[in-house]
Amino acid sequence: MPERTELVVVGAGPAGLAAAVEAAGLGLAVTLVDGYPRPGGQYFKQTPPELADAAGPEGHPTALFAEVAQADVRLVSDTLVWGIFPEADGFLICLYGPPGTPRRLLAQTVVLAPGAHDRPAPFPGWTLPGVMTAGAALALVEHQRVLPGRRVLLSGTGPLQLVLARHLIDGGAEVVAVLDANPFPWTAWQHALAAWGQWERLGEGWAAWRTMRRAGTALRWRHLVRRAEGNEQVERAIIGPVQGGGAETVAVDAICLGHGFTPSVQLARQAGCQDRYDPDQRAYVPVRDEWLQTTLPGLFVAGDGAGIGGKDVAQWEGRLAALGAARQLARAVPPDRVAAVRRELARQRRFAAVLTDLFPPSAHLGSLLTDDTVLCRCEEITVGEIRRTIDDGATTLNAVRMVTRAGMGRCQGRMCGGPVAELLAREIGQPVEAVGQVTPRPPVMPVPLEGLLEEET
Amino acid sequence: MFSSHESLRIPPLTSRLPLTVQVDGEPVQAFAGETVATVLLAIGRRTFRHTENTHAPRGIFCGMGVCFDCLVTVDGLPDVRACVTPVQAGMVIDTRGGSDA
Repeated sequence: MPERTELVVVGAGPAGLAAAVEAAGLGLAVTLVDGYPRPGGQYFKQTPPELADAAGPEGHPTALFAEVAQADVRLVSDTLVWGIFPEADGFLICLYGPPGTPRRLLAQTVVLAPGAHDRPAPFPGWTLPGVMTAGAALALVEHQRVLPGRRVLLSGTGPLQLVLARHLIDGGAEVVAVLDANPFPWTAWQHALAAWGQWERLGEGWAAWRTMRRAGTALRWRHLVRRAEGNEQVERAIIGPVQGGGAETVAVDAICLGHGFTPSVQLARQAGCQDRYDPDQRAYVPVRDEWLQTTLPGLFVAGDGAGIGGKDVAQWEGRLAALGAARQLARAVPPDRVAAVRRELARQRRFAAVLTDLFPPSAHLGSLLTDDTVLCRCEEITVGEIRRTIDDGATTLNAVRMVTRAGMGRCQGRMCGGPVAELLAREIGQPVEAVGQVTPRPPVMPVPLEGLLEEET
Repeated sequence: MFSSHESLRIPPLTSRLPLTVQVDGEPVQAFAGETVATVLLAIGRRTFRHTENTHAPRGIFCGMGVCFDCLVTVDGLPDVRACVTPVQAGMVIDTRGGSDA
């Protein structure tokens, strides 16, 4: 028999930690499941204590670690949630973790806080070793104290690239250039009022810009990397303006791609929550009510996994979802607490909306694709193969997947799902939401066959 | 391939706890708290495996355990994500097997 609990929170980033703390404060029995050895997710990723030397960046201190440790929260780390199944008396949560970890939990309510991953941005040569996401490079420098390369090119959009450039330069790398596919955000001043109270974040951007100036690093707007070349690893980058000619070749040993983030929606979809296409996010997001409850009563989604809003939106969403779960469990929910959480969440969302507005995903990536560009990294399916399927009449993502196997590999379409949908939509002249999504199937993460069993063998 | 002074590790290393692992049969110095991916990158190794279909080189990509590109064999267990697996003293890391090979 699976263990029973009132609330299972999936993911120990800002949303999940805050949800767990808030729910425990209301007296709920909470189990917090996380896929990594230490809680924090990506925003609050903790440097392993053995590597946290004095010279490293300060990291991201948060009171949530202490709060979750003091609260009556059961933390299950290093454990994947590979499936969620609605049942008559709650949700069956399927886990796979180190020996001794429960394999099944039966939760009356669930808060999913799965976070996000870097938006995959395919271009010719993007599978070469040395080409990686900005998130990967940032984690290496900040929390592993190792450089992704000596001569590094950054290409993408938005302010995270500046933060990464600063850490790379401080760590001793040469940042060849920072390319931003968007034009300079002249409209920023229009949003100055909405950024009220967010000076800390603006200050971070300013510090990054000063470091780049000192190092002589060029920041080039309306530019991107068009192609990566090399034998066993990346050796050269061909860069140029987003439109028109003028390409040049630069020698690099690493390229970091920072095209923003995309919500991790696999678990919510696998559980059966309805979703909708959000054109601003260029991603599907779960449909939620004013308590952040999905179309499955008792199942809530908080934080970046429901649309990118950043760590502060995530924390307040986590708290609101916890209040919603308590309400669902017929607990007394203090109305003034609900009002305060909603007020703070609204304030944080205003700033998040400004960032989305200022730094939209680039619209130019699709024009880089050549027939020999690999789109599905797992199954090694090229643009040309997908185009042939489209020529043969495929009009949906599921049809393309069935013929080519794109999206059927280990990552379950997390990397290629968006890019294949956008290619397909462009080729058949339809909006992205018309080509559908691939149907997620459990396990949503690769788990050894033995790991699917209800009991350890 | 890279001598130690060319390591990509960001100094200072003085407070770190050294340990030895094996990479493709060779002893390699690592430090407690590092992941398998960090150890490989630090010795100048970008290619962690070759793909089954086209034998294309692959290395670290997402760095957070979701893309499954950085797979290596660890202590005989295939398809281990190098980017989220901490090293341990005596760990045997193999990049030659290729995935599913």
